[in-house]
Amino acid sequence: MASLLSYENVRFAYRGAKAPALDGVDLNIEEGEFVGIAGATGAGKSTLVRAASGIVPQFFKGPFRGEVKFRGESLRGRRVADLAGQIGTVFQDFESQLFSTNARLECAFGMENLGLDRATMRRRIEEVARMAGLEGLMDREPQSLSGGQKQRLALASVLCLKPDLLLCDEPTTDLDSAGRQELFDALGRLSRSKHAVVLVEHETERLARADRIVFLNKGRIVAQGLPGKTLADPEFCLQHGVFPPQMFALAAKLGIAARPLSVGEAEAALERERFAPRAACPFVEQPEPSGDTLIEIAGVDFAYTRGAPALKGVSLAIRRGDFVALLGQNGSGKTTLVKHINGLLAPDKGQVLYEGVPVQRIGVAKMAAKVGFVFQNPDQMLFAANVYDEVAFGLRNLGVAADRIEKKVAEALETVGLAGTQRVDPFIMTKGERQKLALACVLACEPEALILDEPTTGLDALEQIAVMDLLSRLNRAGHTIIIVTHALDIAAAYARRVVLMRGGKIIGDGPTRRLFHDAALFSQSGLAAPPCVQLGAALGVPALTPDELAGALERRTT
Amino acid sequence: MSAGFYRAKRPEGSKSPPGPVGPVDVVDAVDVAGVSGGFFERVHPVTKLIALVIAFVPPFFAQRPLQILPYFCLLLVAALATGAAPHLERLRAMMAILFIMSVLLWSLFYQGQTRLFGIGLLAVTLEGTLYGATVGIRLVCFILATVIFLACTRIEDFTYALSRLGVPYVASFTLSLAFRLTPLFMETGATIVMAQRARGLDLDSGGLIARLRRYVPILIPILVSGLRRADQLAVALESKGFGRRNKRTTLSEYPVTWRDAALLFAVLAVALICAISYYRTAGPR
Repeated sequence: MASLLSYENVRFAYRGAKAPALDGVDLNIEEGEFVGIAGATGAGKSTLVRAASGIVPQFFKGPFRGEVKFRGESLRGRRVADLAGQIGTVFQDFESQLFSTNARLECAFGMENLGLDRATMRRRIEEVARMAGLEGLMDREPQSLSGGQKQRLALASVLCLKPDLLLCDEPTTDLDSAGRQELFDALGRLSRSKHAVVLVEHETERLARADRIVFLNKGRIVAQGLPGKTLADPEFCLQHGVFPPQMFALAAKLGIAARPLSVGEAEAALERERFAPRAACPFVEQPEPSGDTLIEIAGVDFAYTRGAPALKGVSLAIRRGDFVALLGQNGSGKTTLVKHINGLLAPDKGQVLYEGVPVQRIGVAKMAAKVGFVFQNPDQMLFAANVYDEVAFGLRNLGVAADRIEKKVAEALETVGLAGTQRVDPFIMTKGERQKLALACVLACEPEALILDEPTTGLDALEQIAVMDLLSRLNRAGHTIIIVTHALDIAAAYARRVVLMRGGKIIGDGPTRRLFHDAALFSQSGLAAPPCVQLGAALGVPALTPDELAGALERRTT
Repeated sequence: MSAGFYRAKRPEGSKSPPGPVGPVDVVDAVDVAGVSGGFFERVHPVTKLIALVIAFVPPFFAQRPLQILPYFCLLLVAALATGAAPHLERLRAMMAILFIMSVLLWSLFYQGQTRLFGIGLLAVTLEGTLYGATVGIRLVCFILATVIFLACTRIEDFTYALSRLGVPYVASFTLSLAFRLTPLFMETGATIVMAQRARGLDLDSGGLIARLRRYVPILIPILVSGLRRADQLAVALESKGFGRRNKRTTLSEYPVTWRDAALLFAVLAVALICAISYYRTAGPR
């Protein structure tokens, strides 16, 4: 096949950055090819995609060397808008990609800019709506759609332009597992002959279906090839920012050469290699926390607007020292529920008690010393000119004496691994560092309990492990941890207890292992269990992680 | 104001039926602006914009509350008829405050002959109160007319009208973006307030200066996330061909019909009647 897009020794550094974002990239993308891009934070994945449509260096400026060629012609001097009919991009933040009154006009927007006639526009909208699974939603206001639907609408509006090259820059990061599935289903329906796809994605289970995977590190291509080859080594994957596909990790751990793409394939591979569960179940249950009840939520109803309840009769007791993961689809009420725990929201009915005292009576400001709350996006709380002031902010609010602040700030920074950064400006830190800083700000106040909303979103694999290991350490040191997350593999690996929510109600609550292996209940929540849980269930082994599953299997000798 | 003003009027069940897509279906899905909407939705957006400007005129004629009241009632009826009522309900408090403030301020500063009560120079007169009420109703009338316009004009149609009237598309589109961004900004703002309150920020105590200073931790993240979002928006817009130099087309069709003539005739007639009745009730000077 002919080359569609080629990078020729591309070097680029963002203005003001010390290190280059792309450092001599040579890459060819062919017509109809599906290429996955992977790499750690700061590896240059987004920059690579931006350079393909001219966004780098036109919007994000800086010294640019080398050539990016589309169909053999250099993109130098071509405006992003003029390339719109040939190169389309789907971005991470769906909110800033939608600007119309209804889905149909959203799809039309780009075509109107290209000056297409009405008949063509109508035909394409019909066609693309089907492909994106948006039939019946075309008259809806984009704001009334779910996250998954919004992102598919963003995809549809780009596909209407019939681009030869579709660039997707982490389009699923902000979606729940159902939304991710929907988007990948839509991408799967794309006609391979019409569009080449370049997808930046951290979920390797998805990348495993690509024609080719390209690994970037510090702006250079460090590996490329078939998914079965590039993702084969779990250690290599982790070092480059992604978790290996769970089935690949299992196969590697068991010393199986094959790299099964699905749970079914993995089962067949285990059969072939004569692996079977050990006679005795090796899993030792973590003891239930013995502490008394710290937080009690009793019969809570809550609605943001009248007539649209967000929580319906929710009751939940959390013991001192527990590690709870709240799971559920977008809009199931998880975040709404945890905002009740420190009093940010007040229940319409029922009550929330902290050590037996109603939270509303204690007040949000005083609750800050008892329950720390880390919001999903650290940029929504960081404001100070340096790290020291940022961390000291909470302490000063609580009226901590000035001479003790310095010590507490240093301790909190030490805990999260940011020791000695007191004078650094938070805004030049990486996303992972800012996430840790946000955690430090909350830790400095020494709260008994910590609530974290999506603590791993937007972090690469090693950063995720670092944050979660830190939470585990804090938990062992006695802190009560509550996380809200879409990352089921993370919840399975770290939480002691899982609370499943759907439609504003708690539909399941219990020890992590029992909940994850209650298939009927889990499917009710609309979530899909991680592959190793599915495989474990098929084999009768209640494992939660690939490592656990590997440890529970042995080669039959007879 | 919110983007909700621009909710498509088409009912949920009116989308094209499933099945083979024949020419009939395609015609059914045609996006003629507000094809299934009421009278106002089907009027050409330029006509509506002109009608809105004309609707602003009659309140200026009136000098006394009774002169403006009939027009006010007419607008209320129009608002109910066009389904703008829910939006009005949201603006109820704002309109009430405008009216009350106007009555209070003019009562204090407008000096008439009929003294109602007062101390020394500070006197409230009947004329002042009446004038304040007139101005108050006038302001409310402006809001009513605008809300009616916005309730039955989609933002895209408004943008189209502005560009037909010679406003560059980039400028009119940017204006329409304000409607889109306002709710997003409000949402981000609410989250940021929560994030800082969870860190112990107390916004409700202390003097004015102390309180203002406490808004710094809220304003900076709002500013930063706003700038970030604007950046993302600009990139997303341009990668969909916004800002190309070729001629722009529209999916929606805007046919001019008898409705345009009818609406223009109606608003002109009302304006004329208001003008005449003012001169008759005011009497020749």
